[in-house]
Amino acid sequence: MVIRAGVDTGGTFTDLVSFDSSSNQIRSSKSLSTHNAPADAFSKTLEKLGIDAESVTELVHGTTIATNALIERKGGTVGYVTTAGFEDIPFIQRTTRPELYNLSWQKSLPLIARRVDCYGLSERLLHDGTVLQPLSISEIDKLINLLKKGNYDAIAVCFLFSFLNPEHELMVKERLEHKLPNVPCSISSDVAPIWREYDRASSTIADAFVKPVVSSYIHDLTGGLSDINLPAPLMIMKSNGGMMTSETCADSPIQSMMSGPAGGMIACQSIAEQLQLHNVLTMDMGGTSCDVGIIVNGSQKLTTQFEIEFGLTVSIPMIDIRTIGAGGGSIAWLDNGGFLQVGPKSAGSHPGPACYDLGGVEPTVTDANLALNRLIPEFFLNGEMMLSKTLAQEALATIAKIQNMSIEDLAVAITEISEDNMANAIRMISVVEGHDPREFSLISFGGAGPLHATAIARKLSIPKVVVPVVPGNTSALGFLLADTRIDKIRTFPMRSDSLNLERLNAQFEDAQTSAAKELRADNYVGSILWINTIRMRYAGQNHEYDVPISHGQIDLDGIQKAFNSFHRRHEALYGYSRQDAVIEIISLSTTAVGKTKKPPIQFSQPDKVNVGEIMQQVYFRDIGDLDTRVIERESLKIGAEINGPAILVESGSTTLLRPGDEMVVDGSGSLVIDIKN
Amino acid sequence: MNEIDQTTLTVVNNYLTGTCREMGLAMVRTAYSPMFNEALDFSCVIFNRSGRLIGQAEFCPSQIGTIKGTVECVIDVMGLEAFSEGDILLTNDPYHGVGHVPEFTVLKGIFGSDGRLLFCVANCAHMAEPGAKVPGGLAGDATEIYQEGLILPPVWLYRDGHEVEDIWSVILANHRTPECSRGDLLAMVGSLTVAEKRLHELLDHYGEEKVEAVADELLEVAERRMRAEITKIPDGKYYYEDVLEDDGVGTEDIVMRVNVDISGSNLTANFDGTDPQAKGPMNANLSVTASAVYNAILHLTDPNIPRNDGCYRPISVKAPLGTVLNCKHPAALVGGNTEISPRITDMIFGALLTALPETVPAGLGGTSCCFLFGGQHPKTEEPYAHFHFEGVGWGARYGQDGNNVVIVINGNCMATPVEIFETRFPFIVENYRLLEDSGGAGEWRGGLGGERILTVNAPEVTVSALFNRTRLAPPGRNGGLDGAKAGIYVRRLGQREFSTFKDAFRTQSDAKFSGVTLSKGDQVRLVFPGGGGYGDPRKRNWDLVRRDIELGFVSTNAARTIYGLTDINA
Repeated sequence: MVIRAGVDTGGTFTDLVSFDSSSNQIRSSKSLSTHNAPADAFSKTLEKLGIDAESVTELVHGTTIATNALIERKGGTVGYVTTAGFEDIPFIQRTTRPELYNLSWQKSLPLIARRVDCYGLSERLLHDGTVLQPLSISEIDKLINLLKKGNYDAIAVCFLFSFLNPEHELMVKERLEHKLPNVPCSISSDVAPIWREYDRASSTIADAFVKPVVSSYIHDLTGGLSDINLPAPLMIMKSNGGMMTSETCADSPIQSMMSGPAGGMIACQSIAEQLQLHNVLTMDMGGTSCDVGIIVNGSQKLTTQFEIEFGLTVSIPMIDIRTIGAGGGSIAWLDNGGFLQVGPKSAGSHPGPACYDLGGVEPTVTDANLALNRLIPEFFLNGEMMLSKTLAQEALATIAKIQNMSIEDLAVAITEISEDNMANAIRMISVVEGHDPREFSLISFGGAGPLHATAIARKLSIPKVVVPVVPGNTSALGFLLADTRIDKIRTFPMRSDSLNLERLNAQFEDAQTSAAKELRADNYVGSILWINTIRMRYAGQNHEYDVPISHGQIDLDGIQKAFNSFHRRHEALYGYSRQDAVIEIISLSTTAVGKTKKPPIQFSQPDKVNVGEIMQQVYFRDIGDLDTRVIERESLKIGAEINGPAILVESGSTTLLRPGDEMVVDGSGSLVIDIKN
Repeated sequence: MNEIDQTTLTVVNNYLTGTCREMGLAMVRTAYSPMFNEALDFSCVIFNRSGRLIGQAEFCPSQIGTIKGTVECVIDVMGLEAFSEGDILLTNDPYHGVGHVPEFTVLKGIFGSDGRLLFCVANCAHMAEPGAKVPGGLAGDATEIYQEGLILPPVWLYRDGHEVEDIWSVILANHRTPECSRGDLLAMVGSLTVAEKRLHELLDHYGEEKVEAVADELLEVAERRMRAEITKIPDGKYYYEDVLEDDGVGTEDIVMRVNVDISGSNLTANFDGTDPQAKGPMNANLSVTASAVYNAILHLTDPNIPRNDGCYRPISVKAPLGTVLNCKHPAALVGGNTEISPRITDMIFGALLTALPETVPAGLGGTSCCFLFGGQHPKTEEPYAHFHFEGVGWGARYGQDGNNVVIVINGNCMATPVEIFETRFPFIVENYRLLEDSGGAGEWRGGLGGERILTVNAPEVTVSALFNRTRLAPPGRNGGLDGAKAGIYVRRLGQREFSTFKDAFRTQSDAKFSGVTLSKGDQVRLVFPGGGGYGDPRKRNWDLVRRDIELGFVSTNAARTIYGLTDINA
């Protein structure tokens, strides 16, 4: 047996999806996470599947360790080094407030303490990257003496304009490695070589902050894996959808921040490819939140904009995934004016929705679904957890009474508001970016996603919904399908009226050389696939678009084509373009992809037999109660066709087909649903 | 139509807010000036068919309030029926309800299938270059509106989808940075295009009649909720007075007075007894004054009320014509919207302190710290003009210290990053930091102010300023002490110390002046004020004082003498 395994360790569960290349079989399972000894959950889950740890030759892992350290602020003590005079940049942040008219708002606290942990050095670069004031070795040595006293777990360095010239940051890093070899150092020109000092500083501090935690996690995990004789080298999923070695991850831990959601997106990309869908919207709805993403023409969209909380930015390349507080556990409440609201507060897994009978009393989206008979208690997590409809109804009753509504009407309102919040999030990544949802399919996964997908698709006039196999384990499935992937950014301004193609090509070459080097360091030996983009805007604007450009030497014709596509995009989004205006190139980015061999997503034909026809009364708005069939998904053969209304149950998720929906089981095992709009 | 359900109300309200945000995103992504694409000094809103505000998002409160006044003026002057499909109206005329001359406001009608006007969408944006007597506008010593920029009463910028070329050429001929101004105006228009698309989608989805009915109902809901909130404030007359330090051209100590009268669900702010209008630019029109009152009341009430015209209905604002809070043409008034607006908001807070002691904060930083400059960039040889502002300390709140360096309460703008600032403008930023002890002492400490020092890196730069709170500090409340004052100082190349512009250049005012020429190597020091403290500093928890010392918020000396900390290291 040669097994490739993807393992997604979350707060509650550790999901494992395995691929056996001798039988082409994909299997999945989950166990409770074991945070003190993370490898234990790996071995337990493998055991459940009857897989011998020794047969696992490839292992890709995603973890929320970095994200949780940031959110819970449980990282290392970081010493922050910057240009003298600008030590307060992380504290001043960007002066805006997230909402108007709220006097109790509190500015986010940075991950470092002011003054005690902040060190200014005499050095200065100018906006063209030239040196105004050189940095002296004695200045660095003075700093190192102070840092020694500070007893730091990690150091973050961010000098003004270092993204144009990293020389001073590199000097500090080299000297630190020499004199303080046990304290890891993050420099901003590495972590986030972008314009805007605050975002760069914030990202670098975050990287340093999570370093001690991630390093010790990786140390423990690799130790644990070797204890269970699992031979595969540990690869970690990155925010950009690629994977990296565990050594790279320990060096650059912030890259692992969105590893779980990135896995989900990679899985969607493969599913889309298999189903020949070019344009796909994705929604992953779990217990507390919903992640939405987009694939255009088969490609992921990358972003460098992310906030841990308002104002605390992390600007590293990551798959553009937007998270909103809409999950099965999202709580319904009345605001002061009597408006029904849903989320972002969530009952989480403890106490969880009222129907879990774990002490929760506030009504949640899951309670609403149960009250509407859209969740079938017998099948929820294989019946391992018995849901109480009575408790769900009781939780809903209070608000229903105040609103003078029936419990069913309230439950419908809760699901609809929640669905609308998700539809708005999808609108933000599609419509706002100039993509028409009518030309997209919606891939929906996560425990709660498939229950709401057909409703959301209707709101956005999306014609097709896809529910992949093992929708509760999609992230782990994605890990099996991930490539190795390195992103490099080079920032330098250049104008269309004074092009220097030689310089442009040289910058690309430089970025590509360093990307290739890192790809090889991640143990990749095959041929490299390149994705190149140039970031541009009208000279004078301050925000840019990434315009794709083909690999190889760029000539005048090539760059002109890129400019034309920029004009077209501007026109499409804002109703005008300025053909006569100067275009300014701000930066370029290059992505080196090391393609891995991917398992076909193909589940063996099920042998499960449906436990006989169950009928359930399900309430639909504007229609009323309808007799609805309940079908076990695992009993469906490839090619099976089902028309809505129907409920498809499986251990990790439930899919709701609404009246008019037409579903077929695709060759990959995915449910493909045509939506009647 | 009584059958509008709660769900539809919530959904449509969210959609309107989302559309405004989307307009903002379009503006940020396409505008030319850092005023918009970094600093976000603009606001996008939606009105219904009769010109009632029905949608807004997290933009500048002062602009949101004044656009309401602008649209009311447009209705008075020409009526919304003057709009046809494809028309866009532009005005920046403060005597037509605009906050001040730099605030270019564009308006577009959205029409239904039968050609009926269903919505108006608007974007009010503070242009870095309004064609005033000095680059960047905001001349601190203007004495007539004519010095504050080219005035555009409501004029058509587009007719039937086409640019009205005459007006474009007049505007661009009057701006120092025509290329940038053109890009910014196009961006404003682009934001309206985005809203138009989005609103048509809403109309297609629900049908015109339903959307109109929902929008009407949202106004009712907001009014009902605002009335409920005002009813919670004890009835009574609440008085407050405040003093503006000077008008830039010689008049000092301008007194503003307000009586806030709460009676049931109605609130009236009456500014009777306020001093006559100033000769300099420290005047506000009624649009600005009303907007600042709304801003105060929205801050003191439930933040979840849908933000639309219904919120404003229970509030009435009166200020006698010819006073600094309702000035007469052709008084200069460019400082009203940036400087007087936050002070009016703070006056309402001050008046309601006894009624709402646990909600009202101590005195706010309360100035935009306007620093204007322009010239020709030595590298690109292109003209530039910029309006630079700074964040200020928040007043302390009951139970919470004030925030450090946040944009003044009438705006919601971002500080321009140093790296953007230096790339665009010929300055070198020497530092940007918080100032110790600048937060007013109190049981809860005021937010810190800060400083920024800039060195001129061009042969010549023309600078102007409009600062307040340089002589009269943000007040502490309920026993809290005042926050630190603001200031603007200059050090010519070769001088040892910073001095005021008055001492260095014989400007009439320390902090309100225009058109001063600085040379390479000269430095400007901008000091932004702290917020006032709340409650007796001697009651502050000593652990918090010690923490403040460690973090450099409070000096050991202040800890001893003001907070009464006897044992610093314990």
